[in-house]
Amino acid sequence: MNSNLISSNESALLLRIASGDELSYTLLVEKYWQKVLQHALSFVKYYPVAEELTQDVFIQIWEKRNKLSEVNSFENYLFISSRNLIISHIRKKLIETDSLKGEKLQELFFKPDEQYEFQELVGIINEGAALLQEPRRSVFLLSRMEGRDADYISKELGIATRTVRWHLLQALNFLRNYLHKHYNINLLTLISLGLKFFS
Amino acid sequence: MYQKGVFKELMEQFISGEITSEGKTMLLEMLDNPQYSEELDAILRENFDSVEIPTVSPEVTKKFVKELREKMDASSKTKESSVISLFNWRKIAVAASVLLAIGIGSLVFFQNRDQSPVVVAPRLADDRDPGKTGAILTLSDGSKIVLDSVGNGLLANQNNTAVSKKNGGLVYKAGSGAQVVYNTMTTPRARQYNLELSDGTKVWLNASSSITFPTSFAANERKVTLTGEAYFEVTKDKKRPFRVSVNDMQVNVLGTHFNINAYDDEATVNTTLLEGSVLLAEKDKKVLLKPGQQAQKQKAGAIVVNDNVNIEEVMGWKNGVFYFENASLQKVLRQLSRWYDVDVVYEKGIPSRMFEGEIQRNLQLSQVLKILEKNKVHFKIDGKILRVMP
Repeated sequence: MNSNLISSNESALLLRIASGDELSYTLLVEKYWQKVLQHALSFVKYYPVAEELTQDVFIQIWEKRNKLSEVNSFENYLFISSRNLIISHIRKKLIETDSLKGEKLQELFFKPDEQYEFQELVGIINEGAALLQEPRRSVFLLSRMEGRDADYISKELGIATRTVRWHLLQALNFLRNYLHKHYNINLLTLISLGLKFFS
Repeated sequence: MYQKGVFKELMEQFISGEITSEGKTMLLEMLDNPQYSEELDAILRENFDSVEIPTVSPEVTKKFVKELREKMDASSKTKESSVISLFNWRKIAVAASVLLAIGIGSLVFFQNRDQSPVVVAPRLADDRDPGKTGAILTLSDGSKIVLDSVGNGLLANQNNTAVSKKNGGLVYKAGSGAQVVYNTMTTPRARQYNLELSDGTKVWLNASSSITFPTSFAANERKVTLTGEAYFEVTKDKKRPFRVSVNDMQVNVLGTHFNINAYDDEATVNTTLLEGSVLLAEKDKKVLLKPGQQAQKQKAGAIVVNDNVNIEEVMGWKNGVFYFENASLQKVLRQLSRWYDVDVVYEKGIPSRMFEGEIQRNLQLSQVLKILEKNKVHFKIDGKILRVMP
């Protein structure tokens, strides 16, 4: 989006925003919102919250727009602007207790009247997973459908543990986006139903 | 003890979702330790630089910008006073009815400290009574029963299903071998009603609405059709999903509490979940709701899920109040139009005013208008027409 914004123009754009130009601000948001959102999603893990955090980052940027005239690298400024918000969300997630840890997907839907939702969800997740490239797809399936840890997957697929985790993160982010985009199902709903694959 | 490797490992486990609860506790402590802030920064930075960015459609970006704008507007609006707060309604309502009563030289008394004021006064030439309990029931053979005036007791027996009036509502009881036949309950403007279906499911029907339902349900599903607005408390039955058809949309549930607002003159069809879970389906679109969420289906077909829905506002009608939150004049008057059976005419454009607060639904229309007039709008009741004056 707006890839015609080249960086030499960017400092001019920042100056215009600093002087209160809302149109320039919109261009900036359009260009960078996905970067912030995807970054936040890795840690926040829940699409609507990541989206809200992204809004807060950009609101802050507008409220402190007079600072933009001194910014050399906007990407760097953006990173710092999102940093504290993300860290406080990591804290929040670490405090949450996960009583569902270690249970298998099927067992989480043990109530008969949840079987209906369960089947819907598995279908939707499989649809999304089918769009992943290998080895990302296998990493996801082994981790989340078979409950294997990163070490096991590393040996099984012959790739480094770090790489396994990197693929897993990208696969999870992809599916978070996919579910949000196609079904408007947000992950908390799934988690509240007992599906804790994505947390 | 500084354990950079452990910190890094724990962060990676956190990101990939493998972290144990012991790991979480440990990581939380490390995050509070400034020793690790440099390492944390590096991990965040690596993710920031390497995270994959999907291509999104311009519409998605537009939607984000629009919502961002709304959020910014909302936070600046609280500083302005363009919204007059109508909270403390009860107090204002009392004051307004006292004012009104003095104006026409009459007596006001209170039934009870906690209850709303009752104005005993000669009727104004042009005023409208609030709506009340009532509906029209159309039986399977086409015959109609006006439910406003009938007393408690058995009303009809259709193919072995008894329908009777009980405590101001309707109750269906299916006998053995009951056949599936359909009834329709219709509320005109200024009437609302409640009924209990043969499976025990309770339905509250708001004004200007209708529900068509079988007197006893089939073995594999429970299907009803709705227009207007209703609140459902569906009895759990895992073998028979409960389906509400609203236009082209289907709301599928097993046992939950939810409200559907599907008036033709509202911009969106809103399904609000209070308890349990529901699955909305329309053609290939599916939306699963969790309690506290509201799905807003636009006329064009898009379904948006709102997480920050005010349940009090949604359920106001069932609880005997109009509840407004940031509501435009039109939105307010659409509700009054249904409850007081009036048509709204804007004499000179639509004033842009916002309303917030609650007003009891048992007030006379003139009393409600008095309250609204505090927000610099003027009304005239002209028979069944409510005129908004310049």
